[in-house]
Amino acid sequence: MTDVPHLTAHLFAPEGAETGRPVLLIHGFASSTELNWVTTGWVKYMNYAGRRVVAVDLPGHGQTPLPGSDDGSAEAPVPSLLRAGIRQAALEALGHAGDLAGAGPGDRTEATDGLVDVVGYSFGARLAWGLAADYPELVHRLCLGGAAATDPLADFDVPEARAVLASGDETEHMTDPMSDALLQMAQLVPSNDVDALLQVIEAVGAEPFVPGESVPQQPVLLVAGQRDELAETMPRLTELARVAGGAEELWLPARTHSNAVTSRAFKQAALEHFAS
Amino acid sequence: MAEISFPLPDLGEGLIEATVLEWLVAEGDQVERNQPMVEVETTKSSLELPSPQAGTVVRTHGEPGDTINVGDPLIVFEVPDDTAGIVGTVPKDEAPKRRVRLSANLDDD
Repeated sequence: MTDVPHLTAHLFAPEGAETGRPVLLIHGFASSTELNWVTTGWVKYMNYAGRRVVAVDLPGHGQTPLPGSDDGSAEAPVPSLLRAGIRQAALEALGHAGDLAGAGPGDRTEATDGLVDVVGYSFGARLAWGLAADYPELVHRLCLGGAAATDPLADFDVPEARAVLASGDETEHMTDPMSDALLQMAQLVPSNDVDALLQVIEAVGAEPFVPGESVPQQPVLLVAGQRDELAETMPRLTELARVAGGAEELWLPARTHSNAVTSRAFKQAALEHFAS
Repeated sequence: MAEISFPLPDLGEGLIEATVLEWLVAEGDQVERNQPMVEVETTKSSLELPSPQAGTVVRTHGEPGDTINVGDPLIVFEVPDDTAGIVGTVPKDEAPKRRVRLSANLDDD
């Protein structure tokens, strides 16, 4: 499949006057716009600061089904197509559908230069990293949360996960603890389609994350909880970004991968990074 | 001026303690009642606790990562003397202004 996938975009406008660029939010694996950004106060915080927010649901997440799921040929898009889909959905939601010259990396329309600031969390941070590198003109500044320089999803053994699920035995676990944690995460939210999420993982494995291959040229703020094991490799991203467009790090005391998202210090730092 | 100390409130659901994640106010801050004060995490969820009091923050207890038991000191405010002692308002003891008379409507059956 080479088509750019259609992603559901959610637009949230501030009540009062709009100030600054719209903020594009990209959620993490097994999450959604609702879980990652609405219930955690991000949308409200950005709206309150006068920012318009556009947030996308990734395929297999929230309100975006996998492409082809209606006729039984569901297939998860690889990360490069996800990034093209994110761009397309964001531009359409922000009223720039007419400026979609193409979907390939490097395609550019001046009308959308520096259009958005971007926040990505976890897997969404990985996509945001590539999005900013693929579409350097579109993205003004970048904020990554809970980001890893490695690829926890690419090391995931999908057949093993299917076997564990098929066993129906809740005491069965995957050999790799990180993979097992991801599988638990996928099952945590009752509305999650676990099979779709496993397909997402397979597609991600087809294009492993090599952060040094395409480094964003924009200034990057990297934020993670001090107890976030997934983000232990984040400083490698910081180093890459520092020599490219500049980078700053913020470590949140006592926070983990799952509870760093609600932090006000995180939100405030992102807003200040975008406004500077 | 007087000091009022507030303990970590009972968060319900049988929770006996919470972990401080992030203080949203600092010592010396002038805060309003109901202003978000601190984010804490329990075994159930993380939540922001609103300030129970308007006043100046004198002390906060617990750094991010520290566990506080329900009932142990969380925050101390400095408030003017005449507001110390009572939190909230007490209903005034005066005669009701309006009376409602209840009577059975015997015609309606």
